[in-house]
Amino acid sequence: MSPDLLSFDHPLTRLVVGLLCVFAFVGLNGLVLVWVERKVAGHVQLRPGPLHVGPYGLLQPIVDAVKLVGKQLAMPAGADKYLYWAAPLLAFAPVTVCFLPLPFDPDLAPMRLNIGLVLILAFSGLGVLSLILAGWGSNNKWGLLGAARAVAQSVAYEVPLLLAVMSVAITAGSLDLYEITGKQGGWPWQWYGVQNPLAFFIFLVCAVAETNRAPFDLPEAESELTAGFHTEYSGMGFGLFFLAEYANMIVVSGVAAALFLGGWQGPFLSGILWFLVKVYAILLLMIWMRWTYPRVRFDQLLNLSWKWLTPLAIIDLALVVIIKGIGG
Amino acid sequence: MQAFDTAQLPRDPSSVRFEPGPTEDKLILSMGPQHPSTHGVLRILLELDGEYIVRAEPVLGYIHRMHEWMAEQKTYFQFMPNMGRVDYLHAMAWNWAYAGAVERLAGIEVPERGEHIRVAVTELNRISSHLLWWGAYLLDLGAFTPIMYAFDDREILLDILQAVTGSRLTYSYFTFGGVYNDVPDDFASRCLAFTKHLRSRLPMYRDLVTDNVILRGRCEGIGEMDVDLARRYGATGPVLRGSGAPVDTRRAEPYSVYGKFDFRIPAYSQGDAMARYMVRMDELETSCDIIDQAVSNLPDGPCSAKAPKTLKPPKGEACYAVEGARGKILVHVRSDGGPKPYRVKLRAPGFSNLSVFCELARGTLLADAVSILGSLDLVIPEIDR
Amino acid sequence: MIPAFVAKMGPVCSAPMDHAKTGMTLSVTVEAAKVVQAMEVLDAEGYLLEDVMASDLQDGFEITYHLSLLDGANRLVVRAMIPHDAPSLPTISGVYPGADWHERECFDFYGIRFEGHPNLHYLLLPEDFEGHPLVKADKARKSLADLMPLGYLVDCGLAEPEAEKPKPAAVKAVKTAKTEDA
Repeated sequence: MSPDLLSFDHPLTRLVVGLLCVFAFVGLNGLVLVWVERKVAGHVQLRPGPLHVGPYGLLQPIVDAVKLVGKQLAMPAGADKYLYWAAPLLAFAPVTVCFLPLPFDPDLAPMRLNIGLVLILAFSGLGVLSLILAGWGSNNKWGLLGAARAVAQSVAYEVPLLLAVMSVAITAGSLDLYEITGKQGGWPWQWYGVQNPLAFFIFLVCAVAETNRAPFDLPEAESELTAGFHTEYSGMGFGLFFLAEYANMIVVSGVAAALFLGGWQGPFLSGILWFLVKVYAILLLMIWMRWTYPRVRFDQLLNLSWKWLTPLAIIDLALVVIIKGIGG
Repeated sequence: MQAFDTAQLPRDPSSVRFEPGPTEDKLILSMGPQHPSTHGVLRILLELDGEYIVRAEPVLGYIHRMHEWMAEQKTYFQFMPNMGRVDYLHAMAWNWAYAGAVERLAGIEVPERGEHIRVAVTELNRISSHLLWWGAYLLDLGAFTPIMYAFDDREILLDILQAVTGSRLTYSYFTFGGVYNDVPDDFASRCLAFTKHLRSRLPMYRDLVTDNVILRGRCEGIGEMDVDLARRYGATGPVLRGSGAPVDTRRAEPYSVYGKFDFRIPAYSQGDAMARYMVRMDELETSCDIIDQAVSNLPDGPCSAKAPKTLKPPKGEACYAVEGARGKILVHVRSDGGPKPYRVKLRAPGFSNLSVFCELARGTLLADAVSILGSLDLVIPEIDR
Repeated sequence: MIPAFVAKMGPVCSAPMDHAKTGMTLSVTVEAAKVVQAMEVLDAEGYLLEDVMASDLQDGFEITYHLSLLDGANRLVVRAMIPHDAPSLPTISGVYPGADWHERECFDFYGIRFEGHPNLHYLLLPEDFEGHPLVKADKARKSLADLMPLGYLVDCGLAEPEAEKPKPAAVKAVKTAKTEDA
């Protein structure tokens, strides 16, 4: 007895509606984040930030977006046409999928999956592919260097990230983000991030590295590689990379909020509001870090992952397993 | 993938010379002339093995203006404004080196008040140069914020200099025999207020930036050079002092009234980028000390000696060495007794400092090359002249 | 220190100068062929090469090397004269690697060829530039004697440290200039 296709109970209908909502959410949040980033950066740097377009410069991101859309799309001579244009699409497309299993609210589930965590990790791993294609396809030496960095960095940080996530999954005994969130309570001491701060810390560091944000923004290190993998992109080609970066940030912050900060649950007013507050708190932390720290060097970045984070994550995982085993 | 014929590209003489050229696993990379961290229009050809630099060769001349030729076409006075354009960040020192050489040649004595004003404005200018370097260097290392703090401080200082000289960057304030205008009445108090303000900011910079572990990781042990290497390449200024030699033209061959002032010459013996960084940070304090001493007992009297309108120094030659923000500035003027110099030679410290770069960059990572380049504090117009 | 250097070089022409008036303490003129030898002696004594300067004179191109010790007012100037029709002299970049660019600059501006230079190409000028901008027209060239101040003493014997000799050149200068102004 399959439900009618027009009914909201049909999985395909839910998926399409969910995706539309996700696109709207990503677009809106992207714009808001751009504004937040510029405003925070401004205040960190003793200047007001966007001010003149709209109240408090709120319309600035829209103006930016319109500018990006209006720009000519240029492709360098000798670039691989298909790879070059596939890259920005490939950067943006998988991120939207990652939003589907995010637990915004117990009643607001675009797609509830029992392996939602695996889906997010799998699709966010695709993002690096787009960086490789962009770097390789644009026939630019800076791009190539950026792509090479992106691969090494992604490989290095995926490992501790997965280990940190695994320790939470083992604690909760589930890969379903709703269930993991549900196992935590509304008060901070009930959160996994407080119970297992090491995993939370490792996850945060890896999340910053995975989203290529400063101080780990080596694939696009401006002062070394001009702009790294997106050196040659203009207009919306660049715009999509830009949007994908912000969307990625929201995804990792969402995952962090769900895994470590109790998701939608809070002391009062449980629901999507708490989830967004937590997501934005993590986003603000990431923005703050970007405008404060210098960039690390590439070998230091890899050393941090292989020599510190990975062993620590393994130890953490072992501890979690032992405690779980003792506790039954 | 469509065929792409590199032979169709215009021939690039500099990279053609970069023999033996790309081999199977080497990458020839042209860093600049439009690159965010080459500060202007410097171009560096790099031969890379992965991200390791096998060879580096700076390519100069993108902003070459032939100042030395201009000097021979103009009278002594007319050439003065050029000096503000050689090194736009420490224009006062270049003003001074040229004015000093001509004064030596013509035997013009500068009155005491003029000397004090010269010292004060040159040191203020040195602080503005170091602050800008500090911000730009951290920008190279990926920290976006410090430059805004540096500019915030620099703004106060530029206001003082604007009140004195009328311009904010390319000063042409010196004249033969002193300075063009006397300083405004509140000059001394504004200078003292500024040095007090800067001293209060320096601990914050140290805590926030200098002690940052990422910054130290990017600077310590990078681009090490010993005194002998610096000497053979002619590197001077903070680069030489970062190699452990406390050498400063202000102390070694004291010009003007520097002999009267009490100041410390910072030197660090590590010889790496961090040592050069620390030297410059300490020099901010040193300059504050000198400014305090120069303005707190500003002598009365004229600020400039009377120099003839059409200066015709006697036959002969004279050198004048000045400690600029980047090192020893040397101007050598030869006169044939006419109204125009016969030959003016400008020795730019950045020129010699940059020539060490090939040596320092070998075997380092691309990111280290950026760090080394920044730590040499380059001003390209000065190098290309 | 300075006489020791002069002694090591064998017979050269040296002229002590007044640092307060010229910014230099000693000027030594050597044959073009002996430049490298001079630099080796100076390098061993710890001199820093500040600059290499060329001037176009009637007598030929004069190359001036500015050197100084790390401390003190002790600028030493080594000069060599080379003819216009065969403007070449040995490179000192083997002794002072920093001279590499200075010599290339002299090549740019004057077309002076430094024998043995590893990479003698235009440094500051564009590759396709023709000519050498600082070479003067025959008319404009002045002889060395025209550029020397009165009382400039050159000692070409085995040098003994010269006592301070009066140099009346600079003092009169302002006076003459002033009278012309008026």
